[in-house]
Amino acid sequence: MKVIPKKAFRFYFFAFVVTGALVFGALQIKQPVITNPPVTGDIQAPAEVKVILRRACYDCHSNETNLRWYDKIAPVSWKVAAHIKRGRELMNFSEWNKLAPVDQKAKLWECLNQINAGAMPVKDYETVHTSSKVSEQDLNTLKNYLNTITGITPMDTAKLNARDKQYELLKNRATAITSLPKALNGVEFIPDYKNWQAISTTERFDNGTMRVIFGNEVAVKAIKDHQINPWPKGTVFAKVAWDQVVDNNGNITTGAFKQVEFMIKDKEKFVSTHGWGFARFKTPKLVPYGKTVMFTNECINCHRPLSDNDFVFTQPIKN
Amino acid sequence: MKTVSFVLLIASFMVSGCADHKNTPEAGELNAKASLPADFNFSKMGFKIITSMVNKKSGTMATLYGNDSVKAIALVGNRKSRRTSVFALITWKQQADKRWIGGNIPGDLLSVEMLKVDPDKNIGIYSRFKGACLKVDTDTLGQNARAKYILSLKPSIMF
Repeated sequence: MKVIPKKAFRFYFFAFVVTGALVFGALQIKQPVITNPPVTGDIQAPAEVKVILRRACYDCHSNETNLRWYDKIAPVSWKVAAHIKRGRELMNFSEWNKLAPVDQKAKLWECLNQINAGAMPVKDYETVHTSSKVSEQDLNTLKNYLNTITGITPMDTAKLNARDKQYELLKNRATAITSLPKALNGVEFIPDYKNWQAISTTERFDNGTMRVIFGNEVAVKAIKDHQINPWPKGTVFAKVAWDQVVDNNGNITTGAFKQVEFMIKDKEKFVSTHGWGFARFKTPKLVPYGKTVMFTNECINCHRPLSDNDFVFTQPIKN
Repeated sequence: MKTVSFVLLIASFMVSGCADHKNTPEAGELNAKASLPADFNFSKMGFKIITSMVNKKSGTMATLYGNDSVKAIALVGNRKSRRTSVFALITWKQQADKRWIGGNIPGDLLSVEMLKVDPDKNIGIYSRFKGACLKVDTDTLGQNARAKYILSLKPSIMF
């Protein structure tokens, strides 16, 4: 074995330290700019809920970011800045009034689920900012709060009317639609989903909907063969959502059609969204969801905690 | 402590990309307790879905299926048909969705009810299969009421 002479070792060590220090110093010259824009409409919630949100979420999801000294040192500062920028884009508690009340509620349920799945707070942030940890008790506080603001009114006339109006529409619709609507990522509406097999159903009490998840032939075969992680190429899911209509005896039936969502498996085609092509068509007019092609970020962000399950929520039923 | 934090931060900065998670409950698993026994051959009966519903009092949820005749009728909301209609109603105990707080999904399989309506003979034949193994239920009590209930269900609206 070759032994490095002591003198030479000292020299190299010294050179390494100096170079390192210089690089580190140079990194500090240009720093990312993190500002706190004005708070235009802070979220309103009970004090015990607000405390948790402030502690665990506000650094990246509000305009009241509290930077610690170690957040300001490059290269960490760059990562912190990127986290904050992205965090505010996805959800900003300081501009909460920009969301419609129904979307505010949906966001909070999503928060709860992201925390519960361990996806939030972001792990490397939580490691350093240990106070951001959300305990089991905190999670229960959030859950209880969400349960108090969520509920369905029995015999809701508006919902009954919306349903009956759609029944009329369905009866009077002459023939099938001729041109198929298409989402901005190229995913086209598939009218035949109604004839596929149902692979599960969901009662979503968080947003007052009922859902049926359909699978195409490839999906059904994959279930039969128990080859669902990952799902094979060509798998398509269609998830339909309806309003819940509740009677005075606690019977829930499907009301107005709200939307149908598709997930199409093609690893080569949908690289940026982990092999899945997402689309959502809303209302009886089947209006494609999304203002830009970036709408798929929203889809994959919500599905990301299930990366070990091929990004799929549904646990299929074998018939 | 702060120095330790800083070192940790640097370290995590080096290793972390977009975080992946390895904690989906029952990842890769089917919903086994809600599944039908293979020898029941439900998937070969050619049913299409008609609607689904929940009963909060009993904590159950159900899905109504029908053959092509039922489906054709369901689409136009008209229950009068010249062809034989076959309905199948699957009922499960509800369970909380482990993958989404805020959702309930089918749990233990409770029953499959079948109703065959022959328009010429103007009769309905009702049968019920119970439990995870779908054993034939010989108890005929309440069959008429159940048949009436199944026929009263409105189809879900799909576009």
